Amino acid sequence: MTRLKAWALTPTALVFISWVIVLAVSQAMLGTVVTPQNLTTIVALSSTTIITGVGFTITMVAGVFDLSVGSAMMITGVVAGTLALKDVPLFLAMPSAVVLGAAIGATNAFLVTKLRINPIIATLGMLFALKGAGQLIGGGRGTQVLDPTFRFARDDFLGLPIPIFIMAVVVIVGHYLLAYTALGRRITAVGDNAVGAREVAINVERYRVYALIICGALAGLSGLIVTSILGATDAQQSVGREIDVATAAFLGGAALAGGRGSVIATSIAVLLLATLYNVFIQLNVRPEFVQVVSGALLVLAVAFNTRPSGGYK
Amino acid sequence: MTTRTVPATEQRSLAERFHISSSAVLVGIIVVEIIFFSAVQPAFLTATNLLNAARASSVMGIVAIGVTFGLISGAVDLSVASVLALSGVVGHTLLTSGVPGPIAVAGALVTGALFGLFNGIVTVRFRVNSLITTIGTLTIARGLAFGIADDAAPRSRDAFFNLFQTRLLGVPLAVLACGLLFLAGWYVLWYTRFGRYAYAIGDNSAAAWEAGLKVDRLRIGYLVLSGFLAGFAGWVLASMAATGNKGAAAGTELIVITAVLLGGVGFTGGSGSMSGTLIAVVLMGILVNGMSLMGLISTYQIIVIGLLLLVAMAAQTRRTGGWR
Repeated sequence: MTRLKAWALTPTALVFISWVIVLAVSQAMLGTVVTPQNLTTIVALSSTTIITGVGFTITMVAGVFDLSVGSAMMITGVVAGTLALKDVPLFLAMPSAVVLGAAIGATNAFLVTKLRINPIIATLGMLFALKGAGQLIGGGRGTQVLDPTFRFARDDFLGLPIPIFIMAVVVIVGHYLLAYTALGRRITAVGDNAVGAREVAINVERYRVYALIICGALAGLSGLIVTSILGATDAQQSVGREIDVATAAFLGGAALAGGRGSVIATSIAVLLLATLYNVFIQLNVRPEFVQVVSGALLVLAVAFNTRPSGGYK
Repeated sequence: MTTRTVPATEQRSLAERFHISSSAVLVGIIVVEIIFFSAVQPAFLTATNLLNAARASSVMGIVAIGVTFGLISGAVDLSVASVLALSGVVGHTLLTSGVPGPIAVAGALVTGALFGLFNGIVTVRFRVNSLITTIGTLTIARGLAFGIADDAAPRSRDAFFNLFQTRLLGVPLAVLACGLLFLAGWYVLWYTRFGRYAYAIGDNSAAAWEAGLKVDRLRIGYLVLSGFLAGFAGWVLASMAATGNKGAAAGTELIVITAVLLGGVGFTGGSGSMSGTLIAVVLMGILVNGMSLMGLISTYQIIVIGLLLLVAMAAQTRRTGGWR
């Protein structure tokens, strides 16, 4: 019983319970939320946000931050699609999204660990620079990529959309990496107490670099999947996604000060947000007001999450 | 993410070694900008264009005054551009629903101040990092602007609301207002307690508290001022266009924060000056105007300014040791 009580107070459990409550209440109100088809839709739509969220959580645990993930998803997808359109072989064009994402992560890491720029501002600058660059490459209008291999993410496997499987692998590997490996422990140590980590001879900067590169690469993977689902390069896709990702990470208990955060909790928080948006759409709430709600949720999530620890001074 | 003091690396910048103030560097860059743009674009150095550039920059300048107060006190306000757009939309919507001009304007200003109050309460009372708070309110305000705005609304014909379409002695009123507000901002920041306390709090809020300052209330106050000035800038912009544009000033937060950081306000608070911000606003205004004249589309401009923000931050961290 006490173990159950202890579990119920972990961020993962709180987010999970909140999600169940949202599902139950909205099911009681609308009757169309908890159906196999609608739940599959919610999970499938969340899959790219979750994949990005895994990397985002890892950066937050390491005590850094990556606001550029939305723009990184866009530009990596646009680049992969453009390369495919230029008849670059797909076995090169598709992984290029992940490679470019990792390069973006490495650039963020350079700004943060070498130039010592506050990570929020550094990645905010990158957000705008990447957005501009992506729009230049992608042009004003999207171009269709018709190749069926490129559109792999539109297919089903065992009756479920393929992005769900990719997401599951990323979440499991990400959780294992963060919670059960030496790398994960060191990333946590670096974020929890950078001075202490330095004193036990952990190279703080190195693990922050790893975290940011992992985050960039996962954003690249998401960007590829989004482009594959759309079947077109689109310089508007995923722009602003960082708000949802950050909200989910904060809801899942990740702290801006570092050292805390769970891949599983972030993923469930993404599902919680996606369920809310799904309900709003069913209630015909205008998308502008959904945006208002997501901003409010971000502020609420951080306020809620920094209360016990004293937070930012 | 706390800032810790870093062992002095004794890396002095070139400017420091030759005893050149950072303002002089900025003025030097402005001169280079003017020479460059007038060489490549004959239309640049004309009275019409310079007045246009000044008019367009005045909105950015008014916002930058508030952001300077916020940043010196240690709070970053990224919500200003969205609050500006929302205030313009609120003012114009009130006007078209039959409210008299002055009250519609008051509505715009109150909207800005209320968003500042919200930013302040969340940041100070709930101890949320101001960057995150204002990224949240940035989203909220823009969403509300898009939700409220009526694209079919008629343009404003109210003389008071449209005040900033007029000129005084050939100078657009917006430019004069911006200049006066800079003067007032400089005076308040430098010669009043409210201003000096911003430095004290930004430099060391614990010491400021021990010295008896009402730190929480003051910190909220600086963010209210920032929101209020964003609301004012929203009125100025809506007034010049005779309509509230829901998409107005998108990305302006990037330009403003870059200007304020270039102007020498330290990212961690406690340093900076109003004159530095003014010079940097002029620099950014000329840059944006020149790039537009050269036919650089806004996406290129976003890239340039995004990179400039990183340069400004990197230059600062060379001085301060930066983020650890």
